[in-house]
Amino acid sequence: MSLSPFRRVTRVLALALAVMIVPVVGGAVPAGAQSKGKVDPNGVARYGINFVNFLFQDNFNPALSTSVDAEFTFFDYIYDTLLNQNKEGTAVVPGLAESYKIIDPSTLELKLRPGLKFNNGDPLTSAEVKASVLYAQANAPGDARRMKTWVNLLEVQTPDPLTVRFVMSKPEAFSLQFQLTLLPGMVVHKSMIAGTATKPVGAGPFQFESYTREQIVKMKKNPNFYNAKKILLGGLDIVNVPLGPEGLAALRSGAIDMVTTDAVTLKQLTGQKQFGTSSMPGNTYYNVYLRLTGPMANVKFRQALSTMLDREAMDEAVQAGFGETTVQPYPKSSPYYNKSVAGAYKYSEETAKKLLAESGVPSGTQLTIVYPGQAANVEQLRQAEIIKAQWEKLGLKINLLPAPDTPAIIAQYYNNPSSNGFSATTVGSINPITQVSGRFFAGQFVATNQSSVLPNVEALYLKFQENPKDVTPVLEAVKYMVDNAVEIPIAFRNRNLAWDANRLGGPIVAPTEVTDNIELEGIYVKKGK
Amino acid sequence: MLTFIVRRLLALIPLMLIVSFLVFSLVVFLPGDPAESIAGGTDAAPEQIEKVRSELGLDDPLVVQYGRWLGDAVQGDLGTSLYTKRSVADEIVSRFPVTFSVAIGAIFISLVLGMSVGIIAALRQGHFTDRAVIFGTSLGLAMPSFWLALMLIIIFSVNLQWLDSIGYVPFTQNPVEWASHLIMPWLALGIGAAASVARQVRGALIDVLDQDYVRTARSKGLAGHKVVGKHALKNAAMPAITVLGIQFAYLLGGTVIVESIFTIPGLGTYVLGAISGRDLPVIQGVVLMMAVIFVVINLVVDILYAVVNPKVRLS
Repeated sequence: MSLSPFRRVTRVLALALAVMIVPVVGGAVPAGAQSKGKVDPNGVARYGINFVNFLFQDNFNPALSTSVDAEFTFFDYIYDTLLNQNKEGTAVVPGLAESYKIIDPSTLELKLRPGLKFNNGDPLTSAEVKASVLYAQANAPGDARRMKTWVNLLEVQTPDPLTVRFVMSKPEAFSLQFQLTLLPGMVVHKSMIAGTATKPVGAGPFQFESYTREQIVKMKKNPNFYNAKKILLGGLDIVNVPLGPEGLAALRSGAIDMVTTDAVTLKQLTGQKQFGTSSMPGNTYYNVYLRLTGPMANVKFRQALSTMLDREAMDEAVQAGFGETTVQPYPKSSPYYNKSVAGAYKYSEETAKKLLAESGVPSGTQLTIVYPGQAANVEQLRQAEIIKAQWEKLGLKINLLPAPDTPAIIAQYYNNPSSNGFSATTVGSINPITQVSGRFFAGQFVATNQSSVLPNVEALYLKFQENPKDVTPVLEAVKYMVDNAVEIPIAFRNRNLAWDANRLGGPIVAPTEVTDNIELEGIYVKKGK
Repeated sequence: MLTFIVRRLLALIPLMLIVSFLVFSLVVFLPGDPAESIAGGTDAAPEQIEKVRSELGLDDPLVVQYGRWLGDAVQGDLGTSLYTKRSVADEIVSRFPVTFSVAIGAIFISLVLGMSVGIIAALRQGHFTDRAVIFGTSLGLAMPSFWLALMLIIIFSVNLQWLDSIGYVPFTQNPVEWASHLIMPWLALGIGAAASVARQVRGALIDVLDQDYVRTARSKGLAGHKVVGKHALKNAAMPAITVLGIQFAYLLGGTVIVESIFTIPGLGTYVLGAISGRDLPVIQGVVLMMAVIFVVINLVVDILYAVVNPKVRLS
């Protein structure tokens, strides 16, 4: 019996409506074999990220990137970097280079791994590094959005095929080691420099296969990668998925195998057999920036405010308790973490009230706190509301002012002397100096506009830069910043990862920052999955 | 009829000027300094900001800026994206078919489902079927498309694993895959619109079925389907045409969220990314295009209305 098109459509719609009546919650993932299984050498892992969120611009050449970090996820697997970050994102470890040395404040020397090859089989020696860096330098525009690492590059010396020396015109060797863990540390093949390459050619663990715009990047294992034996995946697909429930649905439906997710979702998934979960703190932290004028010029007052924040409760509300609460800019895993101040500003209403009384700032004082007020930014909104509720217990009047984007933040906080604080996240860096310089060093936009230039802190960091092996000056600077409550750190922001444990095996760990990736060594697709 | 159309077209000119000025004024209404944002926000040096301001002509009076922008826009130049540096007009042209295919499928669903349900309800007025339709359409109108999209994903992708929850395949590449990737977006957008159409059709048809000429047709012994199909429905369709026209424009707007949920590379995802990055030329270009479509559809609806109902032309 053949149905008319009208009846066919009606039946399909009736079926759809009928299915909607079926309970929609529960039994979300089909039962699969729980056995660990063996490695499928051709298995392709599918990693879901949001291309829009990463501001991906359909460019696969790191030298032409218009952003320092946004495209890192795509490039890192194709090119790797000369130096890498450890899993905690707090220290530099070998990458394509097996070691590095600061020769003098302006010179950084790398020793490449012997036998390095691009994915097309061509050797990667110091000459290729030099050519790639000079190409990047020639293409690095003066625009603030683009990478400026090589602007002060004076010379690249290649005394032998495994040694590369970067000579800078300014004392930038220290910061260069960290930059080489990011886009500037990626080496492109000469065919890309000449513009003859049809596909990106790099020396990373995977090689580019295809890109469907705003949909998927397909890669296969690079047999020429120096550590190819440890790469157990046959390929990697980076799939565009929305963040939030849609991304999770894609994971549940089997469209992807791994996805970064929010803390609340991660908590729901934790303990479910079919999912693996990981949460890692990065260097980025939830923080209240302070304009050190008006009432905020009073150190006792700032200490009272810092004491009057229940960081554990805030972390529970903002990050489902996964975060690492803090009063300083470095996480516990960092070599710059200062243990001596770790116990400062324990939440106490009584102590806070005492400090407020000592400060002489009258009860009823009004503070204007700006926060990034985008509708999607639930975490920032929640943080700001908790700050308001807790500080109002001290008898202060808190006026929360949402600012939807950077221009609004500049207008409402940095260029508005009547605002007192900015509740936000401080974007972290593996470079310990960059972690604080923007807010406290002379000549920096933020420091200048919120009157928070701290010459003594800057001097300590300069001292540290002269001899980076001695971290004492940084520890002293941290102590000063904490003791004087020049800002109010709350908790380090975690990045969270969930994956299909039925399909993937191995030591999967969440990346710490946008400029970090899931380390894929040892990760595999189970045979038959 | 020609006079009617010419009159309507002339009326569009001031309307489009107002719309285009409002779209352009986004630059003014948004807080903060766009030059500062484009130059790199808090990382930008004052001289960089000034350079950007001068390059983009942001230091000219607003009217001058508007005149320049409008002059380019009427020649099809909507500027370039601040981030990708690609032509906004080219992007719109390449993405519009994707968005159009989402909207047209949803309109088809809303038309077929809405008309049939509306007719059934009108013919069974007061019965259980009618009450069920009223209940169902209320539900359909109340359900936001993003929520419906999520429910469809949970049912068809997560539980039943029949359809892919993400991705898009062009029609020219594989028509079956194209349709299977768009079924859920069509339903997510189309069900709400269908509910609206069904209510309009039901109400209009009930009114028409009460008219003397319908009673006359029935008393002449005409078959029920002929009475409804040939005589009643033609008159009852008028409000539905209006609703459909407006719904189509709304559906184009609704694709912003739905495309984002299903990661469809159309205008919706394009403008959403632009909003996140405050890419003003893109936002202005897409909003202007949507506004033009809205106005044009309204014109088409008016003309259709005039074709169906001569009284409109005379008035």
